Amino acid sequence: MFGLNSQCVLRVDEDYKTLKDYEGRAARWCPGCGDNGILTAAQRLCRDEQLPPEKCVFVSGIGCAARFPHYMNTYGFHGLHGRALPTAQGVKLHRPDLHVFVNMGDGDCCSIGTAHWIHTVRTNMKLVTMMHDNNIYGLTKNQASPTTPFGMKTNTTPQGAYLKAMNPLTVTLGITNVSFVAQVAEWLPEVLYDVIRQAFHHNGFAFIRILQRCPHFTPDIFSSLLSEPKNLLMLQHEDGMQLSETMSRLYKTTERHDPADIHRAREIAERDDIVPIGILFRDENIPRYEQIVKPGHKSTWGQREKVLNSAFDRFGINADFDSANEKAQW
Amino acid sequence: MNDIDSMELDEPTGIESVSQTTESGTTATLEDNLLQLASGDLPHEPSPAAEDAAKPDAQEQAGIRRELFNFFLFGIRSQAPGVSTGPNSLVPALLHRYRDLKNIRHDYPFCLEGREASAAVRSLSNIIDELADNVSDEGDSGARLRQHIHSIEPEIRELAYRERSAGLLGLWDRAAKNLLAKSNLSQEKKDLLRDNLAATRRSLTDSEMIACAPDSAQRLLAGLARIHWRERTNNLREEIDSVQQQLTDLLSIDFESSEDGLKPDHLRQATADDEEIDFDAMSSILKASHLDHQLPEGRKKRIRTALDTLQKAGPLFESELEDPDTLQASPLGVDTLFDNAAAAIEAYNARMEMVVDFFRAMAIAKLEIENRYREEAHDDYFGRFDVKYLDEHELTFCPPVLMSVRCSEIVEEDLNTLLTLLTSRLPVKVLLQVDELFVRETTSERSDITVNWPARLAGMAMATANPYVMQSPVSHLRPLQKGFLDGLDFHGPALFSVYVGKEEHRSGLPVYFDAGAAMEARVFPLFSFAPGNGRTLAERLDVLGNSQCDRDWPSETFTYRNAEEAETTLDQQFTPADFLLNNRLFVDQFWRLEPGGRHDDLMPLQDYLILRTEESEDRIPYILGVDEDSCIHPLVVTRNIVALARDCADSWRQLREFGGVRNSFAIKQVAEEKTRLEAEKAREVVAIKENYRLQMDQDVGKLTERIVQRIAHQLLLRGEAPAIAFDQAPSATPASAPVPAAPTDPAAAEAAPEQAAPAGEEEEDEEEDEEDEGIGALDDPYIDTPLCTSCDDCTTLYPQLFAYDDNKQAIISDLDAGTFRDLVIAAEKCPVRIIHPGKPRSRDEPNLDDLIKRAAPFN
Ligand SMILES: Cc1ncc(C[n+]2csc(CCOP(=O)(O)OP(=O)(O)O)c2C)c(N)n1
Ligand code: SF4
Ligand code: SF4
Repeated sequence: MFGLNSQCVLRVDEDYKTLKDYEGRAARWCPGCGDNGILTAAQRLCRDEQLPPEKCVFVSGIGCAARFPHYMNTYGFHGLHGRALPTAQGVKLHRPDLHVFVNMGDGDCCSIGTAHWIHTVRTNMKLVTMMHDNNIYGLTKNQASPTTPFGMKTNTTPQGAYLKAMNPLTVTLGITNVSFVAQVAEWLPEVLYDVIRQAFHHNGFAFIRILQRCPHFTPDIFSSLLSEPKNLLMLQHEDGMQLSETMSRLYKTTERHDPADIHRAREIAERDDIVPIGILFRDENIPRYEQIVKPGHKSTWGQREKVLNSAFDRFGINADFDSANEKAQW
Repeated sequence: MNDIDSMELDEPTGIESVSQTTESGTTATLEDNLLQLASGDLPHEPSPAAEDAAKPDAQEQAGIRRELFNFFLFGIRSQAPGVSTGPNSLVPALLHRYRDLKNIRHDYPFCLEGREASAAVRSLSNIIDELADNVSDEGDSGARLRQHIHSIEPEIRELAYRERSAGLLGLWDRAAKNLLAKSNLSQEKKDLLRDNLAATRRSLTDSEMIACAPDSAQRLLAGLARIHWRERTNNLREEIDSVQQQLTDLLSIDFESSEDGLKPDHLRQATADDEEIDFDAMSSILKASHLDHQLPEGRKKRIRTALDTLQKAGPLFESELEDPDTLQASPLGVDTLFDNAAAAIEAYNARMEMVVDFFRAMAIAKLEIENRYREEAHDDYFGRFDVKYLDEHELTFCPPVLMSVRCSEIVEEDLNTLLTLLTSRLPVKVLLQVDELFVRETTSERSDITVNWPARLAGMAMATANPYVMQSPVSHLRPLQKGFLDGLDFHGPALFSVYVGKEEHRSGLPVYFDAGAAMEARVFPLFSFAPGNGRTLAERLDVLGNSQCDRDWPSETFTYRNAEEAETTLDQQFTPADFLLNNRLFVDQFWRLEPGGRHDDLMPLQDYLILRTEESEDRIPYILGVDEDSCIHPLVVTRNIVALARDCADSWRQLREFGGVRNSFAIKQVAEEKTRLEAEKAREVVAIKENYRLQMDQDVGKLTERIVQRIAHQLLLRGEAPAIAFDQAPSATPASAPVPAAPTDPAAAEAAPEQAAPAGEEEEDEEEDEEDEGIGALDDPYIDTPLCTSCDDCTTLYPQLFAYDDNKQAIISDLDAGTFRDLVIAAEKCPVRIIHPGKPRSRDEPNLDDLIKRAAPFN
């Protein structure tokens, strides 16, 4: 009426939030640890999207990477090793209004958490997953993880890793209902931020493998990528990642890759000779589990009690039978 | 063809009001001998023997004529009594075959079911058909089961008509009992019938069956309003529940972390009464570690008030499903029917006030849930909050107020108030139960029949073009349902004018036929007027539900046996006289003629009505009635009845015209347009002919000219004279100077940039080189900030020298706060090598040469 409505006033109070508003406790990763850059990217995303801190949840498992929620001034859940994803799914199912992020190490995700990883991809719930891949178990001090390169010496493989490293990209791209797969390196802040942002806007489960330096245990593992930009293959597309002028000047090995093309995505992911950076695959039209099974609305305690009672009554011994079941009297 | 099939074909369908076929109402495929309609014997004329006995002579004829006129003009009857209303009661000829309502499949009785208002009405026939359709067995026993299911329908219908409000299951039981008692089947077959009926009953849910009665409109409206409102507020209800839950969560979480919430007793209660847990210890641990996060008192109070208001408004949106009975009776129940305008308006205001409170509470609740309530801004805003602050959508959540009034109880002031209400904006939905269409005005000298004006309120309301208006007899369930729902959907007032008749006035026919007859006779036509549907009458007004709209009266073939026992048909029209025959108030307006009272000047009313006044002067109109013994009687009517019929025809024609049927303006305009077009066409034809003639003349002229020229040319050629080019079009001159091709030539265009490109690249490279040189030449230290990974190294090492910018990427914050050495060390430390130390600013530092060397790789 009169063009007025309560909505305009409900917005007056919104105040602008700065990066500080998203900073939790001081980060206690080793100096130079790549996790710092990921943290900053996540904080920037929250700030740029002006997400209410109380509407965000960062869920993690166990590991260095999993300390992430402590450093965010949002809700967080520092869970069990390998179980970040099911926790996040639970949060999202029950509170679809929250923005749910997941931070896992390569051990957390690709080792103990593999089953959850695969099935979460299949459910395609709207979650942003950052897999901090430092190719090692950091927190427990230098044990081989599934992504540890072949031949690398660690505390559990003193003779060098026996197996060829697992490729989390090809695995994810092979799972039913996969809808968003990207790979970035934490030392390319611009690209990191851009991909996380696109993942945040993705309509479904977004999986980002982030190459993350662990100066403490795997200091040299990515040095060839740092020093030789041509070892990175930048995947560019109007619908995918786009490089700034500065970045394109530094990183000249590029490929125009349409994230809609899953076959090319798989081919790129397979490559051993070069490390692809960017969005490999995206499909916005895969059904999301939380929407398929969406409960009509949250029922009140009273309603729940009623339902429970009627369920229990069915097991009662002296329950009244439906009159319709009685033998007809006529 | 079996009996059922023939019966189906027999069933008349012409007069829709009395033989509405239900939506799924066909039984053609059923071998269902139990469902035979008692089609009854054909009505017949009295036997000729009786007629012969009383053959009057000429003098007697004159006497009869006088008496007939006395009755026609003044209602005076000399000898024989008029229409009998006793056991031998007469019904209009066309309605005779429907005397037995129980065997006629129609929309009544019905029940209201489900949550979707538009699909809520289910007729008994629908239910029965569905049950029969669900029988999957295609064999003999399936067929028998279907037959049994159908056999119970008339029994249930009859009981439902007798009892008015009974549940389907109860009706089913009693109907089954009656059916079994009546049947003379063998015991074995009886048992099968019993078992089949009992088994079928199990798939039924109990719901109240409503038969066609004066109060059924009222019950239908109340029931639909309730379902409609529940449907409209469905989402809102969910929202209320969730908001309430969230508010409660806020309060309970606050309590859990309060002093009281952390007491051992509460912990025990909240967890489990477990011997193994030391709740005192638990309490002290929790108390020691718990963060002080109590809600401020102001917030708590606001949350509690909001919760309170939401709870209070609950009944309005029926969010508390637990006890629907208490709601029904409360003034807040949307299905409460008020019997006067003042009470309705009062209820509207009260509800509106609650709705405002409710939306205020909802807004506050949402702010509180998100912790965005700012007292500085919001206190003031919500302090002023009133109805003006509600938007269109929110306003639709003020429930409509229902009103129900009886036409015969309306006095003049009421009529005014009602009209005022109907021209307002308030969502008051008025059910006008029309029980008296005409009234008798009897003085000592004369007795007139006049229109009862409140019964025509629908027409008046439509003229104001403000409210939604629907007029329908109570017999027509589907239009009623649609009208009620459309009216409830409409944002403003609505008037539902429903003819229900009066118990004490009805004679032979039940309400269902009495009401249907009112519509058929054009006394109470069906129409709906929906101002929300568009701007034109064509979009708003719908009269097409009436039967045979293009005629004054609907007509139907009447089959009977004449005095010679031969089957005869007659085209019989249904007029207001036929309708009034069923009304005790008007018995004195009909005179049943005994066979001896016939006269040649008598004439059927339907023919009489189309005569001009002077032609009709010495005729006396009659209609046909049939008594319970199926005997046909002519009934003379009075001129009062004739006047009333003419009046009804007039208003029907006008309504029909409004509704676009035989609209005189349209007919006139079409005629005019036709004449205009014809004239125009004629003119065009003349013009074309004229044109043709001119062209012809011209062409012939040119042709002649050319022939002459050609002849001349030939002649000249022979005489070697210079040639003249005849007939040559202005020749295309040879292509003039070629257009420069380059700009349009795609190949060239493509080539150009290609050539330019390398140059551009070179330029760029040069620029880059320059830049590089420039950078190389810079002496000042700097950081490639956009590439900084926020690793904290430099900022922890030299917090005075380095700092983060707004994006948490490193910058040199104060060059004076550090030395060249600091810069070099930081550069060496930076994992992504983006700190460039430049050249030392002062020569005073020790080991400068060494430092410059170390800085070189980073510059
Ligand atoms: C169920 C279980 N198994 C094993 C561990 C021990 N554990 C803690 S962290 C970790 C591996 C962490 O490696 P990763 O996930 O790669 O994270 P990073 O520390 O490298 O960031 C292991 C095996 C545990 N905490 N829980
Ligand atoms: S151990 Fe490695 S991964 Fe863990 S904090 Fe240290 S540097 Fe980072
Ligand atoms: S050391 Fe380098 S990467 Fe780390 S914060 Fe400083 S400038 Fe950024």
